[in-house]
Amino acid sequence: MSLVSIKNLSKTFHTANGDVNALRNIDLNIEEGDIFGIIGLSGAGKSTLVRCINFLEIPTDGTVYFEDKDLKELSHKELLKARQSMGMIFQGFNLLEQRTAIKNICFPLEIAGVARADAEKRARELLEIVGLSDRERSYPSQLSGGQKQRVAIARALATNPKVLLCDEATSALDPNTTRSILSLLKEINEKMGVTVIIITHEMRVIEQICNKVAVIDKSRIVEEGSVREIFANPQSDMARQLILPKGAIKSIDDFVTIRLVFDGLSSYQPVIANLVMECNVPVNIMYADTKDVNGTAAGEMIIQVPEGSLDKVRGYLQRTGIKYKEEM
Amino acid sequence: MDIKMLADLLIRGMGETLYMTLGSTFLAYVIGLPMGIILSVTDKNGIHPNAVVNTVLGVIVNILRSIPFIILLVAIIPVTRFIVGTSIGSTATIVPLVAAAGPFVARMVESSIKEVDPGVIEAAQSMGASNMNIIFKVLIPEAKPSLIVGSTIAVTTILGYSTMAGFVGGGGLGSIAINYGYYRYQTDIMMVTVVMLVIVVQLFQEIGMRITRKTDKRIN
Repeated sequence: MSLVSIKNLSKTFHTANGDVNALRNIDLNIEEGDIFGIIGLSGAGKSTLVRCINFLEIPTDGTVYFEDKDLKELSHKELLKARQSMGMIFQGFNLLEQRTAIKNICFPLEIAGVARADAEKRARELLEIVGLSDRERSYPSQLSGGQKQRVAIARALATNPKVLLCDEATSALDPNTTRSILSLLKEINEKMGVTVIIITHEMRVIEQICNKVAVIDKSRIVEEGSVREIFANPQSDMARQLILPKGAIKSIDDFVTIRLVFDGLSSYQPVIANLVMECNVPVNIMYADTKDVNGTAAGEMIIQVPEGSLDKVRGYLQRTGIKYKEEM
Repeated sequence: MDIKMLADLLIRGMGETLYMTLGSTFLAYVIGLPMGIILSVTDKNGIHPNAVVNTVLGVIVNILRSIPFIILLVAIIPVTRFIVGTSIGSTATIVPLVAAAGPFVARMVESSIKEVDPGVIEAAQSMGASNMNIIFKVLIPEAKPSLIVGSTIAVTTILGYSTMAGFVGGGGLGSIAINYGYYRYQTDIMMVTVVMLVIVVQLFQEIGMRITRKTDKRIN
């Protein structure tokens, strides 16, 4: 069975202005080893969802299973114990300001009742993993945002959790730092076998490290599957809105807009140039976001071609195995 | 009155004032610290909301805080007699001082604890920390600089209260100021006691700020 399994979960908040349904009928299965992304706009309910996984928020309805245990059946003590197998990191880092980096990492170990010397030894190993061995005596106020998140990651990993919950963990960081934190998470997933659940509103976060993604919109999951699949062929409006470039590209008369998705194709193949030459069509590139990932092209491109030559272009794209979708 | 006698008088007065102030502050914290923690923990946004406990405790604190100290001083004389055996002298003054300062300290502690970032508390909860863990390992240590600033304010407020006790034979510099300066029109003696009080307040303030600067790891 899955490491984390959510069945028909709903969460309603009772507020002065009436009930707010933060989550409705959520079903999700997260397998061991996954890097699972949950993406949605703010207010969609994603932060509530991640808090239901470790029962910081108690669902109004439905069940959360962690390692086959129904969390709502656990006693308070057992729940606290179960949380030690679930690390969590936050957008605001949430480090103890009055403790040094190493003491912050020791904190969950103190709670778990680990002896001080053992805790410090473990904390040093973790500082090494996150690349901050030289900052063990620094206080959070002396660290940069990226360094704070590294300490927070080390702290979340101290008790050897099975799963790491990341709540907008890179949203307060600049693009470069975001990339380095994401690669650290990926490394932790690969080397330590920790399952990672990432909550974000940024598609590039999902793209960079997730293997699976669930799209959440207005308290419901509207689409779920492998990142590759959803990126190539988004079905729901929300997924399209998140994946496609901002602002709809207007079609011009007699031209058809086509979205090309590159995944797994060789980077060294001059796709567009060949298209122009083989089909003898003027191709207009409206948008392009592609990159080279170890010799294969990844990303997307939006092009326009004259309506008359559409059949030729279709034929070419099918022959070369490029995923495409004609947009209206 | 010769200088030596005056000096003895003032030194004894200072000693009594410090004894009353520091003793009352200590006891006020013995009562006020747990009360303040209970107030913040049982608050509706606290880690263990409990409306009944919070409201009852809140009302008691508010009642005690709304009675002017000079009234409280006289009103609880029977209680003071019961506890200390007399209502005169500096030890007796500690009783009304604690009764007035305890609730004041409770509110100061409550507000310091509430300043702790809720995100940090949530992080501790996500690690499986119990409420006791959170109180002793998160709330108090994280609020420490603010608690120290609060105690500096408390100690100077209590010092001010202690001089008021001079009116009812409370001892200390306040008694000297009232007995010599007010009843006998010896303004010079009153001035000296006031200067001594100013110096003591300055001293407490400075010590408090220094300790805060040294302990607060957010600013360095």
